[in-house]
Amino acid sequence: MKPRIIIVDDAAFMRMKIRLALEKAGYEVVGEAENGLEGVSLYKELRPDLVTLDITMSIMGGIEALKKIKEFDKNARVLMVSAMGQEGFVKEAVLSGAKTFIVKPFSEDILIKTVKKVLSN
Amino acid sequence: MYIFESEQLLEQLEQLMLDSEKADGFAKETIDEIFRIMHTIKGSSAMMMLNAVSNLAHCVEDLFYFLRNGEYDGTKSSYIADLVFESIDFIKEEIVKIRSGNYIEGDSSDLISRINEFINALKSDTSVAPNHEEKIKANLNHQDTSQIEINIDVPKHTYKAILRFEEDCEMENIRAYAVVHHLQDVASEINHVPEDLSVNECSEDIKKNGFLVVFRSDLDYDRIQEILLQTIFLKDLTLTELDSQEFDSFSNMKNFTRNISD
Repeated sequence: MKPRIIIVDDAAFMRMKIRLALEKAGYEVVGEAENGLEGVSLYKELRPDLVTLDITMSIMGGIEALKKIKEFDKNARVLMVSAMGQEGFVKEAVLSGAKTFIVKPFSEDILIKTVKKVLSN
Repeated sequence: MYIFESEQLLEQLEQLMLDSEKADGFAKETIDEIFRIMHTIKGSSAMMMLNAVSNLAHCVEDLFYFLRNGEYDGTKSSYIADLVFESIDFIKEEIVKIRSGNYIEGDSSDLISRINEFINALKSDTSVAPNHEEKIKANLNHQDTSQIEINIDVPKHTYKAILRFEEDCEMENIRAYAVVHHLQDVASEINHVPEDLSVNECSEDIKKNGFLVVFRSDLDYDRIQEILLQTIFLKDLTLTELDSQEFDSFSNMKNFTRNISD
C-alpha cells in the first residue's frame, strides 16, 4: 500500500508542486489544506503516514498546527516546509516534535529523499 | 499556475494598498495580510528560481515583519505605500516577461537597498521590542545544551561523534540543534562544537568542519550509531567511544579537533 500524505500550504502553487513530485515518486496524496486549522482537521480525519506543513499561513500557522497534530497523535510524522530566514521558527518546530524540515527552494530530489527518510524512521 | 497565483496575489495586494491609502494608514490586519502575501510570493518565486522577485518579496516581507512586531507608530505610511507599489510594478513586469517566453531577469537590487535603508531608519527611530524570532532565540538559549549536570550514576559509555551534513541541506546549525535535542533523550553531559548553535553563521563552520558532539550515555555503541544514523541529511558520521579519561580531558571544547581522520 502506498504511503498516504497530506500537504498543508497556503500557496496553491506549492501544493501542486509538492503533490506532483510525491505522486511521481509513488506516494498517495490523500488531502490538501490551505491553512493550519484545515490541516489539523484533515489530519484527524485521514490519519496520514506523513504531513508536509508550511510554517507561515493565515488563520493558523504551521507551528501551532504542528503542536495540535502532535497533541492528537504523538507519533505523527511532520515535515516542516520552511523558507530562508525562519531559523527561529524551525528550531521551535524541532522542539515541538517535527521530524525534520526542508528549506525553499528545494528540488524534487531533496523532497523525495526527505520523505523517504522520514517514513523509514 | 505560478503566474496565475502570483497575479491573484498581486491583485489582492493592490487592493489592500488602495484601501490603506483611503484609510490613510495600515491596519494591523492589513499588515498581517501583506506580510503573508509577500511570504507566499517569496517562496513560490524561489521555487521557480526567480531570484530577483524572491529577494524583493523577502525584503518587503521583512519590512512588514518589522511593522507587525516592532513599535510602528503609523507614520511614513505614504512612503511605505510607494515602496510596495514599486515592488508590485517590478514583479508584474517580471511576470509579463515570463509570459512572453523571453525572460531575462530584472534587477531589483536598487529597490531592495532602498527598502532595507528604510527598515534600518525605522529601527533607529523606534525602540524595537524583541521580535518573535529573537524571543524564541532568547528562550532557546536558556535551554543550554552545551553543559548538563553530571548524574550521580555516571553513564557507562562516553562518545565523540562528528557529523557532516549533505551539501544542499541548508540551516546546518538547526540540523545540529536537532541532533542535540534528540540526543538529550539518551545522553547527558552533551558538549558540542560549534558551541552556540543559535548563531546562523555557524552553519558555514559546520559545513566546512562538521559538527562535533561529545556525550555520555548508557546505550551501547551500536544503539548510539543507529540513533545518529537516523539524522536526516546526514552525509557521514564518525563515532568513537572514548574512555573516561579522554572524555574528562575535553574540558575546553575549543581544543577539539574535528579532523575526520583523528
